[in-house]
Amino acid sequence: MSNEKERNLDYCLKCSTCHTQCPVVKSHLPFPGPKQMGPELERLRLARGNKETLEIDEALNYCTNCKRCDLACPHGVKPSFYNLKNKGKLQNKFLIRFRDWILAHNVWWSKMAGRVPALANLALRLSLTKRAMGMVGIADRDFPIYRKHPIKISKAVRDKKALYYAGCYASYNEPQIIQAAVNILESCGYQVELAPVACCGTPMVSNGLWDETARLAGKNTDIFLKYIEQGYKIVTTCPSCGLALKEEYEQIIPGEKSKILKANVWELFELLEEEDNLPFEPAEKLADKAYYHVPCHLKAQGIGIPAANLLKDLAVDELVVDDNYCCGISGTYGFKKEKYPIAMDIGKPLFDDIKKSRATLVISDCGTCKLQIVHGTGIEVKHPAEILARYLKKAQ
Amino acid sequence: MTNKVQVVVIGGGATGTGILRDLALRGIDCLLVEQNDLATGTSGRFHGLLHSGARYVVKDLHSAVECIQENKIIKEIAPDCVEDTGGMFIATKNDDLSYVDKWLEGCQRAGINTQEVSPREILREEPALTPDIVKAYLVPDAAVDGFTLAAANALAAVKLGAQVKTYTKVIGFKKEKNKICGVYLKDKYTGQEDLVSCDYVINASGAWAGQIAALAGQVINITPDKGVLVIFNHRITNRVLNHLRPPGDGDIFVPHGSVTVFGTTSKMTDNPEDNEASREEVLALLDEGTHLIPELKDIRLIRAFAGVRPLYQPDGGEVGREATRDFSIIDHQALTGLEGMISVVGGKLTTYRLMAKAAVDKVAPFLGNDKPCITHKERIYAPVPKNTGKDAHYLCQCERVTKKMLDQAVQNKERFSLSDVRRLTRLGMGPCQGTFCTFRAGAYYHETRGLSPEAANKLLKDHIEERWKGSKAILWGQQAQEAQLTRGIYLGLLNLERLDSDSHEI
Repeated sequence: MSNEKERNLDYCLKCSTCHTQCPVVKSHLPFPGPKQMGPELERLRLARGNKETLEIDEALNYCTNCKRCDLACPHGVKPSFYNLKNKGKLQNKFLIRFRDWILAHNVWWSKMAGRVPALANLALRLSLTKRAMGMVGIADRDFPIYRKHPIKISKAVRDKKALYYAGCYASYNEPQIIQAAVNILESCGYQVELAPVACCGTPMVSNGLWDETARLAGKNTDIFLKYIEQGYKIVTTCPSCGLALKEEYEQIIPGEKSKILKANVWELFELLEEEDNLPFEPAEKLADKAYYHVPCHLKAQGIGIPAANLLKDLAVDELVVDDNYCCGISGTYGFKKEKYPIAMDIGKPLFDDIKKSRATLVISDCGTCKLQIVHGTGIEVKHPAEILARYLKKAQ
Repeated sequence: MTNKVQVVVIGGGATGTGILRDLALRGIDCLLVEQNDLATGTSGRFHGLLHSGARYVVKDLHSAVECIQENKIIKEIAPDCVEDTGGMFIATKNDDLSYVDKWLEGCQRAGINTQEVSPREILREEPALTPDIVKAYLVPDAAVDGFTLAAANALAAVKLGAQVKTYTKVIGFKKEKNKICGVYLKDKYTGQEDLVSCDYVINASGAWAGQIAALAGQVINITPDKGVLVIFNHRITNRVLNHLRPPGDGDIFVPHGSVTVFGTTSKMTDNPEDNEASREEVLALLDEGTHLIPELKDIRLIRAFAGVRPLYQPDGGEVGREATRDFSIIDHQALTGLEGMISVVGGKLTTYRLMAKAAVDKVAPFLGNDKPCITHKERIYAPVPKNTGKDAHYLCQCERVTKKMLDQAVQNKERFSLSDVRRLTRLGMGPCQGTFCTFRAGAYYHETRGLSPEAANKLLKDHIEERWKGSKAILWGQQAQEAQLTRGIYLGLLNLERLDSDSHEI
């Protein structure tokens, strides 16, 4: 009770606004929704000494952790916090736990695959691999392609220092995002270093590994704090990693350290908004019409869509910006066999909207949103950093 | 109904319904009359604590002994009504520790098991407690639902052939020579008056016992003693929490289902219907409570209410906290020569069964009945079993009340209010205080019971107004905002002020 977050169940006015914003409720009626799974059931869990789980808690498996409920609440309740915390207490069947454990530790498999990308990509395409994955409950869908790419970073010492935290997806699947972000930061006058941190823990906590995430979050926070003490700003390009550092760590490991971290994390384009002179110059437009899909976790950071104006000014003639839809994949969620149809159903309105817009390019900050959109529409998806790096002034 | 019974029981609280069941189990033809719904007096307006007796061991050992005996029996016979949370007594560094020894000695004499736990251990299990704990003991306190208890007793009696008339007021007694031989009744809804002949009357009307006795020309010296209670949005501790000090204001917290009931105060009043808490009383209570729960003032309150203790002092003895919690059977024949009536006064909900036994033991010989009391041997059952979690069609989400429970609550009832339904199901007892379930329940009964729109509207309006009454003293913080949302929905969206249904009866 001494934990401030624990008390926010008292703020729930039962208005049900969160319920209307939950993408899972729309696609999967048996899901009781964020109001009930969160603050409402929390009262009943407390009434059971917070020890035994409720029968209905099994439905927590269907929460995608998209955070739309947190944003929707007019009174500051964070239903997703209760969902994450209580997922950790679920007693799922062994096979489900095993499958979720595999998906939660995506960083390990990525590290291995990242050493031998060609072999890993080939193996992931084999029908034998797919069969084996199907047997443990992993959906039959394309996996991200692994790529290896050396990153060029200037060694010059500068006053402005940025610690760039790329996260798993950019590190193992699209290293060109890392190079683009580094180039943009260096053009803005930053001395850049890559964060010696692998996974932020989001896939673990959304798969119910609360305690393991807490240990990882503690370890990561200590690393970040060392850099912060030396004057580094922490910069992210992955919306989920950014949100973990800005918000989830504070819930998982409440205290002074996570507060300091939170105050020193910037999304790349959020940071650029504070720069006086931006290092961009006009060049040939990349597309006539592009569709910006705002990832749920970027929306949840509450920083608006800082890349949108730059993209409009420099890269495309017409930019359709939409933050209404969730793509449905929600990290590892859409890779689970029983959740795959829900993930696709949640994403369908987005896919339809993209197709209807006749845009030839989709822009999105999130790696798994990208996988889902390509899967659902067949249209190319790029990270805004990747696009905007093309417009950096050549003279520098 | 037949207009002749052997015994008329007046008062539908725990004692009255307990007496009805005891009579019925002994094969005595009986009728219970209650001016409102069951458990709408003190039995529904207390902290919901099934005493272990530990609270009374120092000053009132006799009450304490009765409490611990009954505590064990009620847990056995009424598991539907009791949550065996266990209780704890906490002494802080600011308390007089010499009381602890007296208390321990009293517990031992009363036969109440106490188990000492280290402050560290209790804090780990109950993190909301003050870190200033010096001594902590576990006792067999429990939480009891007074509404369900009265309803379960009544249900058991009805199954044995007893009758229950709620919303029926006693307006007089029929006497022949100096003997009561009938009771005049008035139906509160229809206004219709009726006479029921009987051999005996048991007055178990609690805080109203003086008023009822007066109708028969008798004087009973009841000193109604008002106690204020508040309800918090969620559980603060998982055990009943008592302050280990001489009984005073604001020293009992009872975890009750999903909420916590906290109280009480003690103040003499002249009106048994004085059941509203004032803001000042609530604030004073909260000040007291922070000695045990430092963060108490930050926890959301959802309601404040008051109950009236029917304390009885035969010869104008002590009042308030000093008054005994013992009960008395007043034999009016012995006092004034009036035959055919006894009054059961004083006591506590925890000892209701014992009071019923004593009353029926007194009356049965006059009726030529020598059967023994067996109320401690047979189980009683809640008329509306709790939702076990599989049915997810909730009409009230805060308290998980299902359509099925709403059906069960009005079974065999010609007329009902949503408050009657609430007492059996907990509909509207959660944080939103009826905001989101009242319109659903009104509509549901309109559909399933064929209520006219006007009648359904009246259900709705009465319930919203009743819920509002309990919010008035605590309108700050989150609950003030909840009330604004309620206003927005019922006054703004549904235009409740201009409903044309007040003139319609259900």
